[in-house]
Amino acid sequence: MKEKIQILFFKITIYLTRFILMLMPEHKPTVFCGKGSSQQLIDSIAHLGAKKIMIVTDAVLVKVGVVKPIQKAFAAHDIEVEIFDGVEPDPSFSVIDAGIAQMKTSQCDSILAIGGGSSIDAAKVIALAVSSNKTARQTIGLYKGRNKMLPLYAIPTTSGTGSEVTIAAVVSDVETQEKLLVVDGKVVPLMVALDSEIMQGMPPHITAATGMDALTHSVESYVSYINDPSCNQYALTATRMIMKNLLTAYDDGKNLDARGAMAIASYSAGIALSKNFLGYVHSIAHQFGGRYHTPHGVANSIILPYVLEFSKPAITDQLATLAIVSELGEASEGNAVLADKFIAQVKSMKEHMQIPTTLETLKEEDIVSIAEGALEDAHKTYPVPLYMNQMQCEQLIRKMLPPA
Amino acid sequence: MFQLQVLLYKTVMLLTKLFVMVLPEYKPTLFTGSGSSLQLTESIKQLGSKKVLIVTDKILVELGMVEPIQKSLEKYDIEVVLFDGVEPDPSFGVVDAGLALLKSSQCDSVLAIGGGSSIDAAKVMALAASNNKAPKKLVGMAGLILGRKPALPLYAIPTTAGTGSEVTVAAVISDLEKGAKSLVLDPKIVPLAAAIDPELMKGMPPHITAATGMDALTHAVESYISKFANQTTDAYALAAVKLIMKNLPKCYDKGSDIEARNAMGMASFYAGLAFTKAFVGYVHAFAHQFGARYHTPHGLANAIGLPYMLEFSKPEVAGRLATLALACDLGERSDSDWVLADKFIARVKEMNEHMKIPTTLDALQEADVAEITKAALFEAHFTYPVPRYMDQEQGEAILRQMISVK
Repeated sequence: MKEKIQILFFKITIYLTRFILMLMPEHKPTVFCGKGSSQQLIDSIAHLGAKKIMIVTDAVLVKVGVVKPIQKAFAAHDIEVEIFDGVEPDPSFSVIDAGIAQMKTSQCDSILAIGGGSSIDAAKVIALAVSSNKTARQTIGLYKGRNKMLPLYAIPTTSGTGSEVTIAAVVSDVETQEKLLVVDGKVVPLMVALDSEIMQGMPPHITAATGMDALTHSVESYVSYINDPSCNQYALTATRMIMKNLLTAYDDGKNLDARGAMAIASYSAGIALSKNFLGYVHSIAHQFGGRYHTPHGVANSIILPYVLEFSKPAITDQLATLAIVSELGEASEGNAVLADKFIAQVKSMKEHMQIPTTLETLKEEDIVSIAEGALEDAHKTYPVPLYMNQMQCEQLIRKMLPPA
Repeated sequence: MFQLQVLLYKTVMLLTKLFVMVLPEYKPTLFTGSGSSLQLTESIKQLGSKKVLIVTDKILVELGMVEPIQKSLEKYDIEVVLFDGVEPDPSFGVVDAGLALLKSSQCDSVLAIGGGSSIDAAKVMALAASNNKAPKKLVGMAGLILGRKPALPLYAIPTTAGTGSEVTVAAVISDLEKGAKSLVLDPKIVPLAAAIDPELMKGMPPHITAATGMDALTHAVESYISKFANQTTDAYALAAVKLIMKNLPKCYDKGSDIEARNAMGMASFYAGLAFTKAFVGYVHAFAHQFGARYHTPHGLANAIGLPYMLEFSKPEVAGRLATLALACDLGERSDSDWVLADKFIARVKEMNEHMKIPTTLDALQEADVAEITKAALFEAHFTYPVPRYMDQEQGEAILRQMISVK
């Protein structure tokens, strides 16, 4: 009984959040797709009148030569370029404040993020902070942006986070080891290029981790109990494209069709999660990330099959639909069989991409507090299809302990 | 008295604005540049379509513009069913016929290839099919509130650069019984993906290039001077105006200029993005009347009306027009706003003249002036956030200037 009342309370909180978000102005980026679309983005940035743009990226991308041609293309439009390449994985306040300072002294009128989720998130916070004349820390929370937003553009170099379309950015607090969220509709980039050519260089293990991150987005948002019909559609097509293309992209990084499909899938999954939200996989992955610095995509992909197994009684039909759109089976096989096939395929994809089934760094003594943290996070934020209690959560996490 | 009316209109517009702000926003993923229509077909395969209804018109089929796209889809094992029955200002009859074919052939998605007429017809077909409703039942603003089902996956390849229909939440269908144009508004009819491919636009004849290009200019200018304009719509509108001023005459003079065609394709898209949030104004309100009553092509009606309405609105928007003039290098910063605004309007007239667009409308009759004005003002005042309000008398006076001297 007590559990039921609790669950009711969780659900009310989540529906309220959903309702408040509905009342907020929605922004979606203009998205250019396909091989060479970053050139179109640069042309369009010029059309929109940029004079001096700051590129927010990381030192690796500069070194491997991804940034150079983009810089040249801007020069051809007489647009000055300022480069901030200080972004690190899980960017911290000090990284972002450095970006803010450079943005202010260089007086750029626009920002372009080139990189994975970390660079895009950093650029989002830099743009919001500079526009509102705040420090990075002052932007943490819900809708803290005040003024008109500087134009923000993005060229994702990975296919996973969907950050190019979401209203959120994650900042790491080094002191407390926490990951903090900036949520503001204004941080959605104005225009984005999903350029398959730029993604060619992504190494296989990053392709695997970010691709599984996107899959987790699409699956969790599809099985969530918030069922926005359009978001469900996006989740379905995203899942289909990932199931059919991720392994090709992993095996043959130069396959532009697979790269292009993965990019659109990751973007579509980002749209799906913006209203349907996520679930336990993410809440547990955030704990792993905060405690052990497990890369977000790797954590998601380790956890996903376990949570799907747990939730299966409540979501057999949805998993069956996902199996059908992914062409893993026929409707005549029955939903129970199809659901199992979907989970089996997720596991076999993981195995193919050499993603482990356990987490090397996970320690038995941390499990209680990881479960506590994950449940608190999930129950406040995520419309999970089947609720679990502390004990169930601990059991689930225990399965991920490395073999002794 | 008129002041009180204006207050009412402004209140309605304020409520509309708040409402529009919280509407869900959908945008197509976009393929651009030469050959992008074939890139789109690859994406259609990836998105999981198995059987596509192509909605287009006979002329495009005859010109051979549909065939390569059809072949490319078939190469990806996508079945294609062709509906080439779209006519300019498509009626509900056309939409019903397409819908019947869509259902009987059990297509799972729709691809529009054509101008605004084909894209608009396809939008309504896709929405009607998934919701199992008669197209006529979808008319109006109800779609902005009702949680209708998402439309069937809809893709668009515009072959004109003007309507911006590939990105808007609206579709216009002619109601032959009422002799009026019906508007279907629903965010769910925004296509899922679109290709802006200049190769498909280079065959457009000069008079269509002119009319559709001026349609795009009207979208951009009206949304720029609209009271709903915001930072983002301004950026897109300004970009569109600059590109159109520079490239439309080039496309008109030399249709095969791919670079100019490409720029016009982008400009039309930008203008669509701008007016889908900022709306349009009197030019459109009057053009819709001309279209319904005299079947004046929409772009042509807009092109004729634009200079007159800008002249009327000038006292309220001289500063805005001045910004446009400066952005298009039509004057000096030292010129006054008023002078710059005049230069901008003069340039619009000059473009019309260059492209042989008349300054008056031959079909327009003195006897219809009062009624047209009444209907146009009704539409404008309850739909568009115009920068300066006109009353019936002012509207009639402007309209009379558009009557051709016989």
